[in-house]
Amino acid sequence: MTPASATSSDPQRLLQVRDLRVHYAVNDSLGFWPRTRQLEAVKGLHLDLYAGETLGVVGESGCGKSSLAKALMGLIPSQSSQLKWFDQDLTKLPIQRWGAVRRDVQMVFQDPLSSLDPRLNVLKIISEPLRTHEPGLSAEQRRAAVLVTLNQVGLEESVLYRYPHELSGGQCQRIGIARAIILRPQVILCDEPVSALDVSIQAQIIQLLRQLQREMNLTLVFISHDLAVVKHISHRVMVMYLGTMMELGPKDTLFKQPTHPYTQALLDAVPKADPRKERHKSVPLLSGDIPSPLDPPSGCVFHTRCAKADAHCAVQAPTLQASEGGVFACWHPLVSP
Amino acid sequence: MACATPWTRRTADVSTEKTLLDVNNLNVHFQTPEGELQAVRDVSFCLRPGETLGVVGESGSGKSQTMLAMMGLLANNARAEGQVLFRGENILNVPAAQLNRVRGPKLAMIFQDPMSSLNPFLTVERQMTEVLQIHQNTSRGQARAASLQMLEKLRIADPLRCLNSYPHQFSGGMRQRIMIAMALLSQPDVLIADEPTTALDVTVQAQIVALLRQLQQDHGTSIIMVTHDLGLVAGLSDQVMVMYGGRVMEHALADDIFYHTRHPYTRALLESVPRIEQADDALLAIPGMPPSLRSMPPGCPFAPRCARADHNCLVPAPLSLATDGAAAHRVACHHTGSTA
Repeated sequence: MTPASATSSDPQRLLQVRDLRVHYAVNDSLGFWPRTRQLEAVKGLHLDLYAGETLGVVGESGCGKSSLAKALMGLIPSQSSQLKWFDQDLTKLPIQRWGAVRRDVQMVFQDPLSSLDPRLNVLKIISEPLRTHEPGLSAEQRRAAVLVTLNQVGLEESVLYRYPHELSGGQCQRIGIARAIILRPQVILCDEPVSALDVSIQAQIIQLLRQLQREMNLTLVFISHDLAVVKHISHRVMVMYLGTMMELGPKDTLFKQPTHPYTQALLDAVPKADPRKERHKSVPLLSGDIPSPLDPPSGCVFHTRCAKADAHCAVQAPTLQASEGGVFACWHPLVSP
Repeated sequence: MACATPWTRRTADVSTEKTLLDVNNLNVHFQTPEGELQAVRDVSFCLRPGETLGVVGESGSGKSQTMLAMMGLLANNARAEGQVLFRGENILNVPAAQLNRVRGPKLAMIFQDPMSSLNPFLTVERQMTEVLQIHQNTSRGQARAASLQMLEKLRIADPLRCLNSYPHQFSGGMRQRIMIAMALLSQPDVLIADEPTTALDVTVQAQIVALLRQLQQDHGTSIIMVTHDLGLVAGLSDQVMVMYGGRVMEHALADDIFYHTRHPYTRALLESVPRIEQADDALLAIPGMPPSLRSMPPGCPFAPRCARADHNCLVPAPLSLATDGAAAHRVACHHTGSTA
């Protein structure tokens, strides 16, 4: 597997994001009168996406990884100082006019069944993007394109007139992927695409995504809470916590020698299928739950659960520092840069 | 009753040799408009005090239905056959009043989704104290004190406030801890945990697993851990049972399952789970998909997806002791002789 990764010579930068912020207005009132507060789901994220790579995004629930994907798709409003798609600055473009970009950036969703319209058959589901973006095509041409795509995702022609409820979870997810690739996009955002599937089906979908990436030179953003899955598909991995980037780096260094204590804690928590080691495992566990994003901790957002935190961490949020091939945000890195 | 199930002793003060739970040839059928479907076929295992059994399988493998049958919680259109002996007394298909003497106080269950298994209309206190008030005739005050103690033991911050709160006010991990506290209140002998961490983050999952292990050490509770995650069973289980298509495929000591895998399905499952400690390209997908109950293959349920399948596999292989394997390593496959 050797698509252009961040380290290879001069990869093309598709997306350049600076200081991305996503806010939700939530009703925080316990009484009769509403009281709206701002929940900051993504706080000032910097991100570059290069052609042909897979960027994995991991984090616990509530860390803002899905909000990030939706903001990049323009499905929810967001603010940023810079959001560049090739050379086009999208911050100046109203979200209604993102149509041309959306054609090149598609999304695969978590729940394979509920992300497909139950009242459309497979042919209509997969050809819907064509009807929107290529209204000139005839029904015959659309059907031919759908058949080619079905073949690419490993489905038979016989599913063409079936409805989603007649299909298994794995088949539904393949249809979700077919719908995403039929317009030949450059980027696919996968939001937890395998977490609702059985283990044996999970591996099939991961392999399918990797194969499609090779064939079509796709760039993938792969969001998951499962570190092992992310490790298997990604070239670079970003670790998020409470809307902030904790660490971003090449997969190999990040999994072998994480810089941020949070990354280390996440890695330690993953159970390994090795009873002899697992029985005698005595790693310090992260205590407590992820704090509410409505009242994020001061300073470094992770300091309430971090073993290395001191008084300084509670006061001042760490700035992004460069590490070996990546960046991290921590006052007490495990590996000195 | 004689018991062919392997076991190891990890807790110090277990009353050895005595079987706590003995399941013999459990079958579960469902009456559906399309005819009768069999979800569980001939499942047998036994559990000793202080022991942990891991039950691994994909969806539709019958692992949850086996547990529900034992607890008498099957759907109305289901019929269970066989024998479930708890301390020598059959608890399968007995009247609810008789079952309730065991279910709850002796056999407790934690369900997969902590949100939908807690009652959203009642405070945590009402739901927790119910067990003690009904089964042990404790007064409300005593039950409340016991609940408080249990919440403290599970290291829940501010247990008093927790008792007066409603389920929606907690995160998933907290809810699951409340479920565990509730199940443990009556100090059960067997705790059945049906996918207790599937909806949770890895860090919270690690906390819950550590908690279960701690409780087992303190009280010698036997645990049945139902999951699809082989990694989760690895550290916790003494014996592991792998199920597929309603049948037991392989049943052995945890070490034998992981290091001396005999069944092609177990092997495929181990290879298809992405693991953090592995190189990238070692991921091998199992082709095809798990069979549905409506179209179960006539022979071995795994045969259509198995690389080693041949004409022998048209007849289901009986679950028998592996010929050259470790003692009490049971496998249901025609091809185990040369698998190792």
